[in-house]
Amino acid sequence: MPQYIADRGIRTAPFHIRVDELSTSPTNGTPSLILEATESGTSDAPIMQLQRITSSPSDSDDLGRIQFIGNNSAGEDISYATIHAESKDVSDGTEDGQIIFSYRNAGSLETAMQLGRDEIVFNEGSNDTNFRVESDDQTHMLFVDAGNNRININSSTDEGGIVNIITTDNSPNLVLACRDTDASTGPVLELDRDIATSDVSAGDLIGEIRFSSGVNQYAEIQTKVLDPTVGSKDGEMNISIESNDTMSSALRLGATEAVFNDDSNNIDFRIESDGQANMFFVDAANDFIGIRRNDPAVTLDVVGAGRFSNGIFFGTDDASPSSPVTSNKLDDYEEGTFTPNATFTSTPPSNGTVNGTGIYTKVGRIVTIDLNVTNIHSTGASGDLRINGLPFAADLIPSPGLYVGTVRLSAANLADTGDGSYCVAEVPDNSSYVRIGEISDGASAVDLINTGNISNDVSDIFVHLQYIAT
Amino acid sequence: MAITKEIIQDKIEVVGDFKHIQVRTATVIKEDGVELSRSYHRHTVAPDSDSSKESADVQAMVKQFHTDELKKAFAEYQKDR
Repeated sequence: MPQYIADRGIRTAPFHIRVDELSTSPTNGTPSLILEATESGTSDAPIMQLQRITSSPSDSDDLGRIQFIGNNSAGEDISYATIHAESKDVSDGTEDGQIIFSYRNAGSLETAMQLGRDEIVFNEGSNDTNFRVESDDQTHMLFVDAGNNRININSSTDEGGIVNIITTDNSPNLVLACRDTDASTGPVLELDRDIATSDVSAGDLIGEIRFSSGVNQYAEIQTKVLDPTVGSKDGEMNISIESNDTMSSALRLGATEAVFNDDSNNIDFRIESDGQANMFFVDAANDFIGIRRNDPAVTLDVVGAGRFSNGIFFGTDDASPSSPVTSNKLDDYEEGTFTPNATFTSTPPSNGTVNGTGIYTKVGRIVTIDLNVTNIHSTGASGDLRINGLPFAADLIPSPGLYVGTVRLSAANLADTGDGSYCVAEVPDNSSYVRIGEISDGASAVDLINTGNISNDVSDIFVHLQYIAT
Repeated sequence: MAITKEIIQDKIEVVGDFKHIQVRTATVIKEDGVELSRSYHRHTVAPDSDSSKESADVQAMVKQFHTDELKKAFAEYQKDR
C-alpha cells in the first residue's frame, strides 16, 4: 500500500516527499506519489493542479514546471527534462496558453516540442534532432531528417530531395485526390518558380520533371520562359528522352510552334489511326514521309488515294501556290460520259437527231474525247454535220482556232477527188461541238461534211480528239 | 441494307467568252447512306443550244447569260470558223 507523508526528511522545498524514508525496503518502480479518486462519476478525477496565483498576471508568465532531475557524474542535481507551461495571453475571454516539453541536449536544456495556439513546433531550437512517426508496419512512415534537412516518407534514406517518398512495391508514391464536386480543376499540382516578376528573364527554366533509374536519367519534361512580358507572355514545354546516351528533345511545344525531334536525331515519328499502325510516318534517317506505310522510299510515299483540292505543282514554280493559273499546276482530273448528238447546221433532220455515246477524260485542262454516232439521220436536213453535246467548251487557240482529231466516217459519200483525201474531226475554239472536214490531197481548204455526204440511217462517225477546256 | 441511286447536277459552270454552260450530272450509288460510287455525265449548253429540256437551274442561267446580244455574237463567231 502506498504511504502518505508530508514534510519529512530533508526539506529542500515547502513540500518535500522523500520516498526512501517512507518504506523500510523501497522498490524501484514503486510509485512515489499517487493521486487517487474514488468518485464514480464521469467528471475528471483525480486532478493535479499547478496553480500560480498572482494579482498582476501578464502575457508569457511561466505557470509551472515539472522537472525530471537526476544526478550527473559530478554528483550534481541536473534537470534532464522538463514540462512547463506559460500564459501567452491573459486577456479576459481570449486567454491563450502554451506548454513546452524540453530535454537536456549536451548539457543544455532544449525545447523538444512546443504546443501553442498559433503553432505546434518540434525542435524549436534547431538541433540535429530527427522527428519520426511510425505506422503499423513502417518505422519511418514520416521522418524529418534534421541533420540533412530532409523529409522522408516511408524511409530513413536520403534520396536527394527535400521531400523523399519511397515505396518498396508498385503502389503509387504520390496521389493527389480532389473531392470537390464543382466543375473547376482539381486536383492541381503546381510547379512554381517563386521569384519576383522582375527577376524572370527569357530563357529561364522554370520547372523540370525527371525520370531516372538510380543515377541514370532516361527522360525529362522541362519548361521554359520564352517571353516574360506581361500581356504577351510565351512559354515552352520540352519533352526529352535519352537517345544514344544523350538527352535529346523529343517534343517541344512552344508558343509559335510544336516541334518533334528538334535535335535532329534518328527518331521516327508515327501516328496511328484506328485501323492503321502507320497512318503518318516520318522516316527520320532517310528524310521520307510515309502515309499508311513505314517504309517510304521517296519524300512522300502514299498508300491509298490523295485529294488535292487546289491542285499539285510540278517542278519548281515561283508562282504562289494560291495563284489561280500557273503553267505547272495540275488541278483537275475527271472522267465520265457525254452524249454526242448529230445534227446539221441549217435544218435538223425531219426524222430527228441521233444520239451517240461518248467518254471523256480531263487531265488538267486537256480533254480527251472518244465518241461515236451511228445510223445518222439526214432526211430533210440541210447544212453541215455538227455533233453537239461535248462535255466541255473549247478554249481559245491560235489561228485557225481549231482543235483537230481523228475520225472514222463509215458509209459516207465523200468527194474523193481521186488524188486522195482524208477526213479530220475539228472542234472550233469557243465552242462545244465537233464537225468533220474532208481535205483533198494538196488542198488548203477543208470541205465540211454535210447532208450530201451522209447516207440517211447508214452513215456512222467515230471520233478521237483532244482539246483544251476553257 | 438499302442501295440507293441519286442523280444530281453537282456542278454547273459558266465558262468562256460566249458563256457556255457546262453541266456535270453525277450518279451516286449509296449503301445505307454510304457512298459506294460516283460517276459523271457531262453536257454543254451553248448559246445556240435548245435549253427547253434543261433543269430549272440551268434554264435560269441560260436566261441570265445567253442574251440575244450574246447569241448574235456567237453566231457571228461561228461564221468565221
